[in-house]
Amino acid sequence: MQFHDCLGSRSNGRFVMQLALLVAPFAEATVGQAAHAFPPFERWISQKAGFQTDCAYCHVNPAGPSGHGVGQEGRLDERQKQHLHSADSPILNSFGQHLLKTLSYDKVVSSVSDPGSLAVQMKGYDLDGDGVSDGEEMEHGTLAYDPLSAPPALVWMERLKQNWSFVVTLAVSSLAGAAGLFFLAMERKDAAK
Amino acid sequence: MPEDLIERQSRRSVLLFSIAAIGGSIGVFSSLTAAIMSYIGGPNLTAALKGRQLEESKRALESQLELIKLKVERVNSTRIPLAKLSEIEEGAGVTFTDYALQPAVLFKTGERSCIARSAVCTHLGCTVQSNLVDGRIYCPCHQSYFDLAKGVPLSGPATLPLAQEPIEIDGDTVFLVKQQSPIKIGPGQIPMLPL
Amino acid sequence: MIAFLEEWLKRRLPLEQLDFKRISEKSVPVHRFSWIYYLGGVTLLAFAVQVITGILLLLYYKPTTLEAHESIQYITRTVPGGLLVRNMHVWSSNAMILCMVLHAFTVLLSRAYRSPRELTWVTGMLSLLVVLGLGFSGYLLPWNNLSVYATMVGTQIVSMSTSFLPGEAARLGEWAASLLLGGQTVGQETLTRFFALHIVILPLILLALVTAHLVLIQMHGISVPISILRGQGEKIENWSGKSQKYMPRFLLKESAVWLMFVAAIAALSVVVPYDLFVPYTLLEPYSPLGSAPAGIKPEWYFWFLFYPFEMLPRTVVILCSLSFFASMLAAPWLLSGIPQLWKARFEDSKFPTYAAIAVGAAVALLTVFGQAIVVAVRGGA
Repeated sequence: MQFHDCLGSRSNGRFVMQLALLVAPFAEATVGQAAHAFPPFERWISQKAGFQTDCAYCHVNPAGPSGHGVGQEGRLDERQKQHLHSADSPILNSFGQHLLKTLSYDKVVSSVSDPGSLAVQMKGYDLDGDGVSDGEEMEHGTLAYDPLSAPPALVWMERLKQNWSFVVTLAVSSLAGAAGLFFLAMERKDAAK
Repeated sequence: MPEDLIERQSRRSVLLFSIAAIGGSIGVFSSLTAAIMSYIGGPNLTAALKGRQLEESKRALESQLELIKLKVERVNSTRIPLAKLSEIEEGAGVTFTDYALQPAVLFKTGERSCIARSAVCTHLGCTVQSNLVDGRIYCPCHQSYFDLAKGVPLSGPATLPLAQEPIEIDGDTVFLVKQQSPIKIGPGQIPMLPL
Repeated sequence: MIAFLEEWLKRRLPLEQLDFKRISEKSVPVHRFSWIYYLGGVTLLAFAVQVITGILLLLYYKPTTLEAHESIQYITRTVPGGLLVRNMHVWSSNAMILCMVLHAFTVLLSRAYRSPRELTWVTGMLSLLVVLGLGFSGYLLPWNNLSVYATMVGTQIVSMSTSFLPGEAARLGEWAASLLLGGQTVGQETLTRFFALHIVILPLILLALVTAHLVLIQMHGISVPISILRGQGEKIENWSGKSQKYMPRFLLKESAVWLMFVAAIAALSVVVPYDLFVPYTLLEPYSPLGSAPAGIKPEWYFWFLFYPFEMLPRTVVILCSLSFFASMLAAPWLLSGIPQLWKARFEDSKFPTYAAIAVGAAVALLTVFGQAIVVAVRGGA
């Protein structure tokens, strides 16, 4: 069973392998719905969210960092490779970079044994400013860097707050207009037919 | 028209309703028109926004370039290296693109043996997953399972087997081999109406 | 024979009635089911909204596999009002199909398709097919995982659709699919073709059909449900109940409904982005090298076709759906002809009502509970 190396670089590959052995039985058990071996973070988010997520939650490439595709390690030159673990890592998307910026690389990697703790630590931040904290977004499997990706009801509230004047104008004028048009077409009861 | 209405209602209420109707319509359409006008005008691009946009274009271009490179490679060479035998793990397939530019997967079946299969599900054309599920190939769209060795469907809605891709093992490297049949890609390859 | 055809056509296409002064004389019957007369109008307005927002989307959309996904992101995230315009296009397309289906269903129930209005029904049904085609072609344009894989599945179904025919004719479906795809698989050629279909070819056909539909309504006048007509003579000409002038009274009321529709769609678009209902993995740009994420599904208005494919043999589903569409087109003749088999008068027979309810219930059941039915039949996800 292979794990997409969603954690970061090759240098901690041994660590990932150990982890793989640890979580393998669980991965087998969930295979019915997902049929995919998950690294701990991805598996945790998928389980919480109720659908199969991918590495693009934190990485540039949905298939994770290993390989020769866009945003994968095989593409990097020597200079870029030096930034692999820093907050401007070329293989991470803006949420991945944000994680390293706020928590440091070591903290993120050490919480891999308990992915839930990472979500707890991120509850105080809201990268995309959509009113839903990064930790909550992880629990819902919505993208923490995208203001248009969040639990539906919360997005509705937030969008309503941002656009309330537009919505109220539409509501008031359409109701007034419709009432005017409708009553204009009505007949008075005592009017001759 | 107004006479027709006024006959039936008092002048005052006709006036009142007309004002509400016209005012309401103006309210709805002016707020929509304002939004549409700013839409047509386009965004006021800040430097940061422009930078992000360029970054995204670059990424899209890179992935397109990747595809063009694949095409060139497939036109120009008769065999393509897929993977090092020692680097493939059993159960975890290596995804590649075959000569027809369709997705395919390479699986290790023994110490020095491999099998490559088309990854295009024979049910409705989704791409099957590269990781084996209990030793079987799995398509997530409609839960079809295929036998690895024979390619035949084991369960799920698919009825046809996954095609085998021609490969050869040379030293430690697995190669995809070009077949004699012509590649069919793009327009101009549409079969004529069989009548 | 020719005389019969001439008579038939004359009665159904009374061109001499086409006198536009008469719009001022058009009247709308008033009875307890008068609300059904608004459904067609709302559909028409939704079509207008589609045309306007569609043109606006063309200002920024780029129909290439390289830029399509990015240009949609640009519209919804960067262009001011872009989220409104794109979501109005999506929400209003859904509303249009819903209203169209309800409109067709009320016409079935009220038997408004009855002679001489058969052609009005046929033009309406053809428009519904074209609108479904618009929905299918538009689904591909964002070029994300969901849209590309759904298109693969859809074109695959087209390609298999004639496999039960003998000999070379079995390849007709394959030919039609490759004509749509412009090659062997979904690629740039497909995107170009679907784009052309979505913005030029199908809208033009729809415009022609809708015009014919409206002209026919104008010529025949508005039908009264058969249940209301009973006891009033069964011909619309004998309608002695109340009616009101279309100009200006019904038009005013219709405008009130239109105004509320536009405002509701605009408010909905600003507050409820349509993409929220889909996991983000399905909205990532399509990559030909990745594997299909779980949860690929067509839009809800194709579910009544999609779910049967999940549980029944392909040939059965294809034959059933082809005969379903054919009988929907021929519904006026079928529903009035079948009761005569047991010597019942069309006007008195309950058959057309039961048939309409059965068809409506089957489609609604498959749409709403299709997923559950598939799970029950196939056992497990």
